[in-house]
Formats: sequence, C-alpha cells, structure tokens
Amino acid sequence: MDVGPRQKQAFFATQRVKNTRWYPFTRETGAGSPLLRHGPFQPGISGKLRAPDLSIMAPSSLRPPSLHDPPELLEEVDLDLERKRRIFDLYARLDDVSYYELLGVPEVSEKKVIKGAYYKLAPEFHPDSYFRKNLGTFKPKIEAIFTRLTLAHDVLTSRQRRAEYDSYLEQTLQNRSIADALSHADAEARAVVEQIEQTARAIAPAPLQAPVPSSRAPLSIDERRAILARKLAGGNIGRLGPRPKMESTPPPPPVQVNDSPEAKRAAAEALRVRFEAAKAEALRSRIATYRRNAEEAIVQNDYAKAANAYRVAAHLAPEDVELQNRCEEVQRLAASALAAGYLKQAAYEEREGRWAEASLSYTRAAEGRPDDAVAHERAANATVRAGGSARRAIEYARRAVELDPKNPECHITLARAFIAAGFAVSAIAELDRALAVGPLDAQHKATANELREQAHRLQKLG
Amino acid sequence: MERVIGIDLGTTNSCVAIVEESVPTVIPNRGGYKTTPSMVAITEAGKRLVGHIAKRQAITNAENTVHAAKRLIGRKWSSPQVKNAILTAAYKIVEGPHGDVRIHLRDKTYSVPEISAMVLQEMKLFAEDYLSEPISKAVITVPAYFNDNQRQATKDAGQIAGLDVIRIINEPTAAALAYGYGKTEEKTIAVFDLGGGTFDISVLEIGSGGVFRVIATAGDTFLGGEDFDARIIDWLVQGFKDQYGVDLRQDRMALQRLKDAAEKAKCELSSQNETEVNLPFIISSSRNEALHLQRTISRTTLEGLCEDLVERCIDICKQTLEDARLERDEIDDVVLVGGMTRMPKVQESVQDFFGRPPNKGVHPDEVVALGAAIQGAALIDDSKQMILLDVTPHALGIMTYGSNFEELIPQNTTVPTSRSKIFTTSRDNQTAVKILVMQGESQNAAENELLGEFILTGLRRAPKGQVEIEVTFEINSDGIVSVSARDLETGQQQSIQVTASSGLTKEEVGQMMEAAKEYLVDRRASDAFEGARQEAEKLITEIERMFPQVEHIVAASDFGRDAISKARTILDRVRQAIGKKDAAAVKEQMESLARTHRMFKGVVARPNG
Ligand SMILES: Nc1ncnc2c1ncn2[C@@H]1O[C@H](COP(=O)(O)OP(=O)(O)OP(=O)(O)O)[C@@H](O)[C@H]1O
Ligand SMILES: [Mg+2]
Repeated sequence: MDVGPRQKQAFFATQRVKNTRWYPFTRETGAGSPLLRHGPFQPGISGKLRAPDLSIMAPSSLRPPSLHDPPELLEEVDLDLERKRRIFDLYARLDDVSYYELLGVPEVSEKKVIKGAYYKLAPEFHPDSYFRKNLGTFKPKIEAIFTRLTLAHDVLTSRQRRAEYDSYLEQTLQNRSIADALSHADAEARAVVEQIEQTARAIAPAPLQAPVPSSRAPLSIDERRAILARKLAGGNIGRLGPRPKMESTPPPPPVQVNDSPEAKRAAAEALRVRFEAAKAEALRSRIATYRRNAEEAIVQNDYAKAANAYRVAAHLAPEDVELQNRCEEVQRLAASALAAGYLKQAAYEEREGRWAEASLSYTRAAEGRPDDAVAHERAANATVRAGGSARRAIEYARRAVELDPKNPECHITLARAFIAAGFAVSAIAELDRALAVGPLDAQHKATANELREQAHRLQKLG
Repeated sequence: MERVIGIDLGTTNSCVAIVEESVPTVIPNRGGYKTTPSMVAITEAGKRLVGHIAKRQAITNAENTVHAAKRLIGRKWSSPQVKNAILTAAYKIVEGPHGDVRIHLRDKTYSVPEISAMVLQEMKLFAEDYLSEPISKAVITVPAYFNDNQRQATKDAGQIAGLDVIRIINEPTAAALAYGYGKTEEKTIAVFDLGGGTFDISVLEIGSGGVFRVIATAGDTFLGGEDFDARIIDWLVQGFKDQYGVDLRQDRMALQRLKDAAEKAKCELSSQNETEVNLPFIISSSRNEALHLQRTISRTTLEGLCEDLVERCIDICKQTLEDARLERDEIDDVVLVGGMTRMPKVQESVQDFFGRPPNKGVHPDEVVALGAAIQGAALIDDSKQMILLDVTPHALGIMTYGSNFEELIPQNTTVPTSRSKIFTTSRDNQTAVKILVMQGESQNAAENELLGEFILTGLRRAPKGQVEIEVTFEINSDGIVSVSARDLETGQQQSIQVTASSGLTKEEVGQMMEAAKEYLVDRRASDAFEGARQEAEKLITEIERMFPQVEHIVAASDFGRDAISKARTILDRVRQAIGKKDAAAVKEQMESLARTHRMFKGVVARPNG
C-alpha cells in the first residue's frame, strides 16, 4: 500500500494477450462486445423468451438477476412505475437476449428494418430524454441499455460484424439446442408414447385394465422397458391376418354388445388385441422414422438432433440392444460436440473478460469432456476468477491434475483454487508439485512465486 | 419553463438564437445585425468594447483588440498552434500559471475563457433585451473536432459569463439539427463547415421520429478563413518587400490594416474576379517618405494561394466518408455552413468531390446558433420529440509503457458508451500505477492530448505482468469521461471522473465569474446612465435653442423672470448630474426638465410671440 515517489513514477501497462494457446482472439473487450451470457434463447426455434436454464452446474453466484426486484422499483426517481419496470426488466435481461431480440426484429431483417427499430428505441433509452431528471440508479441502467442498443445497431448494420455475430449466435444456439436435446429427450419419448396411445385409442378404445403407463408417473427406465416389452410381446401373439393401417383405417363400427359376461369379456379382449396391435405398429413405424432421422442428422453433423432422435427411439425400443448401443455412441458424439462448442463459447467469454460466463461454459465443456485436462483446468481457473465456488474450482483442478499430472499449469491452478478456498498448506504443497513435474517457464515461475507469497500470507493470517 | 438560448461562439462571428413557439429564431444585436464579431477590446480609458464597436476601432487599437480568441481556447502554452498565433496576433499572448495561455491587454492579463466570456455575456444581454426576461441557460456550440480540454474551457467561459451551459454541442451537428428540423424524410447528409478558424465535416443520418445520428465526424481546429487571410497578407507583404525593401510586419498598425484589407479582398473575390487592395500611407520608408500599398489581386491568384487549404478540407472529407463506411453517392445532401463556404472555389471543390451541387437552403451564418437553440429546447421541453446521437470525435485511451497510446474508445463511437480492457504491470513489485487519460489519434501518446491522470494504488506485490488491471472508460451523455480501474485478483477498485482541464482552476473560474458579475452591474448602470444622458441632452439642446426667444417674450413679467431662473437652475442640476455620471440624479430631474421643455415650446408657439 506504500506509494513512495519511486513507485509513483513507476510505469505500467504493457498489454498482454492471454491464453493465446487456447484461441487466438485479439483482446477487444467490454460492453462493446457481442455477448450472450447463457444463450438461452432461440428465436428461430421457440420464438419466445425462456428463462435461462442454469440448473446443470451453475453455482448460485453465477445466476442472473431475477426479472423483478420490487425494492429497486420503489426507488424514488422521476420515472413512472411502468417505465421503471421496463428499464429494470430490460436491464436484467440485457445479457440474455440476442441483438435481434433486443431490437425486436426478426433475424432475417434487412438493414432498413434494423435501423428503424433502433431509431424507435433509442429515444426511449437515451439519457437526454430524461434531461436533468433524477434517475437515481436507473441512470446507469438506461445508459447501459442505450449502449447495448447502439452496439446491436452497429453490429447488425455492418455486413462483416453481423456475419461474425451471427456465427457466434449460432454457436451458442447450437450449444443450447444440443443441451436441450440431451436433457429433453426423455420428455419427448414420453410424449411420443402418449401420442401413440391416443392414436391407438382412436382405432380401438383402450381396455379398462390395460397396463398403460401414466405419463405422470415417474417410472424408472427398467420399469418402462419391462412394460414396453410386455406390451410389444402381447401385441404380437396370435396376431394373424393383415395388420390394420393406422391412418387409413376407418373408426371401427360399434361392437355388438351382448349382455352375457362371456360375450362382454370376449368383446373386450378383441378390443384389447386390436388396440395393442395398432400401438405396436405405430411404435415400429415411429422407431424407424427416428432412426432414419437420426442417421440423416449425423450425416449433416447435427449431433443434437441425432442424439435426440436416438434417445427417443431407444426409449421406445428398450429391448433393442443394438439400438441402445448406437444411441449411447451418438450421445457421446453429441456431448463431445457440445463440449467443443462450449469451449469455443468459453474462450470468447474469457477473452471478453466475462469470467462468470466463461466459468459456466468451461464447466459445461468439462462435463462433456470428462477426460480433457485442459477443459478442467480452465474451468477451475475461470471459476476462481469469477469469484465462484472455490470448492468447485478445487474439484475441477484436481481432476485436471489427475488427467495430466505432468502439466505444471494444472498444479498451479489447483494451488490458486486452494488459495481461494483459504487452504494455504495444500496450496504450498501443490506449488511444490508444480516445480517437481519439470522446469517451469518464466511466466509460470513468476505465477508460482506470487501464489506462494499469497499462501504464506494466508498462513500468517490464520 | 425557463428558456434556453443557443449560442454559436465563432472564431470570427457569434450568433444567438432561441426557439419561440416552436420556431427557431435568430436574435439580432443592438445594431440590428444577426451576427456579432467575436472581438473584444479595451480602450485607453479602460473601457471594454465587444462586437462591432471593437471591430471598428481595431486598427487604431490593434494591440488591445482580441480577435480569434477561439483559436487559443483550451490550448497549452507549449502547443504549436499557440506558437503560430503568437507570431501573427497583434495582441500580446503570454504564458499562464498552469501552462495555459493568457492575453495581456492594457495593464491587465486575461485568461482566454474570460475573453470568450465577454463575447458570451454580450450575446446573453442581446437575448435578454430581445426577450425582456433574464436568461441563464444556454447551449453553446464548439467545433466538432475540439478536444475535451477545449470543450471544458468553453464551458468555463459560459460559467464566467453567468450562464448555465446545459450542453456543449458540435457546430456541424447543430447545423444538421437546424437543417432537419421539422423535416420528416430519412436522409444521410454531410455538413461541411468552414468558418473563420476551424473546419469540420460531419456525416449524419436523419432518421424517422426525430432521431439525428452522427455517423462520423472529423476536422481541423486550425483551418479556416484566418488562414486564407494569412495567405493574402503574406502575398502582399512579400510584394511590398520586393518593391520597396520594407517589411510591413514590423508595424503592428500596418499589419492590422493589412489584415482588414486582406479579408475584405477575399470576400470581394467571392463575387468579382478582381479587386484592388489600396492602403495609402501604410508605412514610412527609411528616408521617412510615406509609402502606399496598392495592388490588384484576382480570384485566380487567391485560388492559387489557397489551393492546399481547400485540398486539406477535401482530404478530410474523404477520410470521414471512409470512417463512416459510406460511398459518395450514398450522401443525399451536402449542407454548407460557415462564411468561407461563400468562396466559389470551395463550393466547386465540394461539388466535385460529392458529385452533387451543395444545398443552398440554409443560412451559413445562422444555422449553427439555430441548431443550438433547437437542442436546448429539446432538452428542456419533454414534449419535443428530438434526440441527438452524437459521437466522440477523438479516440480515448491511456498511455502505456513506452509512451504508447492504447485506445479504449475509438473515434466516432456513439455516446454514452463504455469500454474496458485489461492491462498489466510493467515492473516487478509495482504497487501503484499511474493512469494517464488521453485523447487523440496518434499511436505515440506524446502527440495526444492529456485529459487527466490518476494513480491506482495498493496493488499486490508481484512480478511484472502478473497483476491484471481492468480499466473501464465511460463517457456519459454530458460528455463527461470517467475511468475506473480494478485489480482483477483482489477486486480492488478505484475510479475518477476526468475533468478535462481548461487551464483554469475552479477558484479562478469563480473569481472570474465574480469579476464578470461586477462588470455586468457596472455595465447595466452605465447603460442606464447612457440612456438617461442621451434623453436629457436632447432636451437641454432644444431648451437652449429656445432660450433667447423665451427670455425675450417673458422677461417683462415677474412671473416670467422667475420661470427663467428656475429653468436655469434645472439645467444646471441636470448638467451636474451628467458630469457626475449619476444616472439616478439625471432621472430625478427628467420630469422638471420635460416640464420646462413643454413650457418653452408653448411660449414659443404663442401666436403673438
Ligand atoms: N463572401 C465571403 N467570401 C469569402 N469568405 C467570406 C465571405 N464572407 C465571410 N467570409 C469569411 O468567413 C469567415 C467567417 O465565417 P464564420 O462567421 O462562419 O466563422 P465563425 O463561425 O466565426 O468561425 P468558426 O466556425 O471557425 O469558429 C471569415 O474568415 C470571413 O472572412
Ligand atoms: Mg462557425
């Protein structure tokens, strides 16, 4: 803290490009950078805003602010409540919406449309519209929104910058859709089963005591497999003659109702057989379609779609071992593609100095590449930088060390994580290990020394 | 709602305007002119003269008459522009206490903002006269290419003049506001502003819904009519030297006469092909004989002398279009602003470059003030739907190791805005860094303008390159720059607001403001006295004219004699009051004086008189 005259003259600041070994971006950062924090929004797919899904692995400190924050809206400023809410909401979502969404224009919009939208929004968020008004904490928010709107306009009206942004956007969307596919396939499979049953019911009313799995009941995969196997087997037994075609079959004529119990049972049994047959046929055809779609998607490198389709298909045919294997293989491909995407996204975020986001993306990448030391090391590093959970950082760094024990950087990062958690002794031990694995380059040596000092200071403290 | 005036504080001429019931209007000065010379003089008696009267006496009082103070405002004593001005100015330029520039007139030294404040104060008075109400708020324009120090100095000038400068805006932008005011079609325009001292070019988009967006702007704050005049002066001086072997530059009065003549010739050559410069008795020869300067100058000669100046303007236009990423044919209209654009060669070159005849629809001397008034009204009045999206004319950044300039906010960035970048220490165990905030385009920091500096302390001791500092620059809508620096590891943060330095301290500005207020009180009193004096003297003259006749008519009666002596007393009292410059006493006697005047008139008019 002492600043003698010598230090005052001391001079600083050579700009340093970091992590070039990752992705050789130039370091142009700040609010002026295109940014999607979580890429949760898929205009082309869903067309409406969804809350970002952070459930996977985000420590609580990385969660975005909530959309409404009543205490802040109570601040006494020269703005009506409606305006305050609008500013507050938009500000909170600023990092979550794409430039297109921010301006409220479709992604295919021409330059003119983009300009028009900007000209409509700019006055609303330009501080001059509130000249000498008391805006309190809303002033920086308004300015931030305006800056972002302007950035959106500038990027989207420049051909080159728009192309760059579109590809970044696509990357995040792709990551998102793969992630979605991987997490929503089960739900889709359930929906398909439900749909098939409805169709079958149209052909033959469902038997009263038919073992239909409820879409509400959360069944284990083994249970579902057993049920399906039973159904499929049942549907095939003793079935002769032409199979009813689902679409073209007219609704069956009302079954003659005989009063005798045997007749009733026989009628019900006949119905059940028809129902099961229709269902089995529908399943077969669906499975075939999903498989075909999946293979086509693989040809097109769309692993998300492929993985999704296989997941559904595998749910529908749990007894098909070959299908299960292929499904698992494609899942791995998709996870790896997703991880690669996250790595790219993370590097972009790291370059932007958005550590919270980089941490999230790197941890996702690490999940997708459980054997990638570098992804784990970066995840740990970014988590420390973001001020995230030190415990989690330690976990990632430990895994990195496990995967690549000869890499001093992994040890150094683990030491850094230990320091963040307050474990001085472990940190020093880890730094010793870093030295032991081989000669350090100047950069690493300097970092290691610095960390060692920090650790010693920690030790003294407590 | 309090009204806001718009002031175009020009190098040569200033102009004031206001929006009255949605109509932007120029306010004429007391002489009825719409523009006022930006000239200030101090007479031998110590009296301050501003505007036309200052200009009229410039030749006989050259050393105490300031013109083109705007070329000096916000500049450092050491700058090449100031060195240049010292060589050519007839008044004395001296170094100020903060490396700033001061002007010495008679026995006093004035800061440049003080001189500009005198002009502003005058413009404020015109507006108050015209509107019959006090005015305190103003929008003042500056060349787009002014840096923050020059802007701050202009703001200080406004404050000294007793104005709340609610916004400083760029001259070409103001011109565009006036041009686009009330128009609804969307357009991309270029504003070409060549005035007395500065050149600016701005490219703007006038969008729907009253949005004016500046795309790019550039210019040269030392390129204007003054430089054209200088070329003519050089030419005349050289010719005279060749002819008589005498250097006219040695004589300040001769130089001032030359300057006037050069400007006059330049303006005449805008409408005629040839003109004569005729300056009899300009100087005496070494043998003490009177020498006369007489020369004919043609338009072609002038164009030859100034070719490179016009070329410089066009080069800057070219660069600006590139910065705006626009082709020439994407410009829908070219607006000419500034007195120098009356020069045919300038108009031709602009037409050649843009490939279209420039717009003649705006008044080149008045649009800027009108635009300033429009912006003022829009800011104050919520119902006015107009928003101006302007850009930073210069890049902002910091000085880094090795005197390199590291840019954070590029030129032509729409404000408000913010950017950050990560830097690191350059020495081992460096615990403090000095952050020098600079403005300019040069890679070499020394060539850029220093705006301010601060020291970030308490960094952890670490080998060089280890401590990472995130520096964030922010420009808000008032153009105020703030800088914050954060140690990424410790999260420790420091920030400052960069107040560009006008060359004056806060205290100095305060003192100057007080002095200007005092002057205003004196000035108001003397204005009041002057009015009363003129009125009284008019009556005195008439009464005296009638005196012999009245005396003759009424002398016969006691009553008459009494009246005559009373009249004498009144005249004496008024004369005494005038002698004492006592406005109140003069006013007090006015009624009696008027009564006497009426009585005399009645007597004289009597038929039997
Ligand atoms: N008819 C003309 N022909 C040529 N030049 C002219 C003519 N009329 C005026 N000028 C020149 O225009 C200049 C003044 O222009 P203007 O009043 O627009 O400048 P300003 O606003 O005071 O200066 P600036 O904008 O640079 O601060 C002077 O140099 C003057 O000689
Ligand atoms: Mg001007």
